[in-house]
Amino acid sequence: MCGLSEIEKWFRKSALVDHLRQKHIVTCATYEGAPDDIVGLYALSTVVEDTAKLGSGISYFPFFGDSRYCPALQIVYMAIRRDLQGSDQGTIVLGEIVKRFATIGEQIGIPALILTPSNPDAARFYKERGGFAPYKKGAGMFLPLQSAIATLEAAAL
Amino acid sequence: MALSDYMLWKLFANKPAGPSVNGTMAAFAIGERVFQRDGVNPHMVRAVKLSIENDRKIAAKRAIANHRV
Repeated sequence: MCGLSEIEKWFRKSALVDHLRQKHIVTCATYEGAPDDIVGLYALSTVVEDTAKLGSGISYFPFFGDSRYCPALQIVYMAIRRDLQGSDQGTIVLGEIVKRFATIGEQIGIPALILTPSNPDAARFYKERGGFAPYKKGAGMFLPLQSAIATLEAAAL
Repeated sequence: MALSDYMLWKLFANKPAGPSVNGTMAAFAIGERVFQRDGVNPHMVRAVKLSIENDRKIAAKRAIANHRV
């Protein structure tokens, strides 16, 4: 479907089980009136992240051991059908995720949307197209809740 | 003595990682600084606009379909 065997394998074998067990919330994007024709998908999960990892170029000094962790919404998987990659369909799916994060995050107080890009091209996409900031260390990236809310407000104007 | 033991446990026990108030507040503060530094991404604004338009189109189609029935 999307060209990445790991996501395809997970989708065929475990996506429904993970969704029913509420491990991830899996959402499939389809065309109106064609529910079997999947355009793309995304899986979200709430996780606990080390606050000290967030924000390259910004200092953070935890007071105690247990002051390091914060809740976060993680994009576990996001995929677009290979023939539609680079089109507006992928943009709509990413916009849907940010819109959802801005709403949920504001309601229950989740400070960051995080993800680990699968390759350098994906990292570039999330940085340039999504406004995600890189972690201090490692391949992870995050989008602050403030950015998501401001984006939603700008889009709604 | 009991209180002292409790305080020692509180200070030195290895607790499982869970979200804390301090950590969450710090994450919001880091997010604010990243937002002040980077601002709003125009591509992302377009993406959310397309998503909102998409929702409106679907809602309109469903409203028309329901009206026909």
